Amino acid sequence: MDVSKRDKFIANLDQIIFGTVDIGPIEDQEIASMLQMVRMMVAAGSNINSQTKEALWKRIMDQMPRQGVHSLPIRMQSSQSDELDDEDLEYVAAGMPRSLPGEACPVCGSTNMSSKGKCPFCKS
Amino acid sequence: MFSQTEEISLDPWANGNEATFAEIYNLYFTRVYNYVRYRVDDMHAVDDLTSEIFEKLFTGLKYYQPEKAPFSAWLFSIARHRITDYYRRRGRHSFASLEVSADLVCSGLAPDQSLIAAEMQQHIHKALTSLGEREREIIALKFWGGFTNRDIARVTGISESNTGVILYRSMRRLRQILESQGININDGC
Repeated sequence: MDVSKRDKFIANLDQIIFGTVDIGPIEDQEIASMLQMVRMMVAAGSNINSQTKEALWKRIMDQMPRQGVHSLPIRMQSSQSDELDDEDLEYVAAGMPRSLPGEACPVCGSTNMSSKGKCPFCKS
Repeated sequence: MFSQTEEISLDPWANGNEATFAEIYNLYFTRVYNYVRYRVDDMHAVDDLTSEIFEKLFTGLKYYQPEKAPFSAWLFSIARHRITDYYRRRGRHSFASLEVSADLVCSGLAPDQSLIAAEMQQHIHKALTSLGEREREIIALKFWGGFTNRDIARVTGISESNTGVILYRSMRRLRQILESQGININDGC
């Protein structure tokens, strides 16, 4: 694989996704074509039918009680489920695994230690 | 991380407020919907999962801790888990629902252009179904999660350089699939 070609594509991909309109001329025809496809995918995704959005909003609000949203129990799943319960939601942050109770990083004090004892913040 | 994506600043005292929910929904709906759409082929399931993710988000909002991670990281972590759960429940038997969706029509175009654009978008989604679950997840996180390759590497457990390789190869494959179907990418919206 041509690494410089790949890196060029990734850099341009980031620019398009994060909103840069004009990324300048692309000489490589394959990369230019792939980036055109990226633009199309972004444009298509940005034009979702507003009726879908409104209908889903209504459905969500219908599911939520008018009062006491905070006291709503989050549906528990089977033990095989990957669904998050209340407690897990406290820890879920960019896929970080939960630490054991009382386990904290000796360097920065973070309680988000991985199961391998590595701190995701200070990397100690 | 996530510095290039919009982030919401939450008033913790307003977390049970419908107006707060509406603000979050308006800001993140498109990204969440597309993220699910890129990972799940059944359009009905896409709607169900999207609404379930927001319900889960709203009911769990009190647990969000800004000092731990950006809001979008928390949101897409919930979305990832929900989709993982969806596939687990289905026994990983995914099937492609190739129905035409009105959601995939480009706005602001003349009717004939809009039709061409909608067809093109449908071709893209069909092509996505030929990719593996991991490739689709990486593309979805990249396009709609607002994740950098480093972020993707962290949440998926693969290296950053490998993330770039998979992304490049997957996009290349998508293009090849479209071209093999005689589709001219330059016809898109």
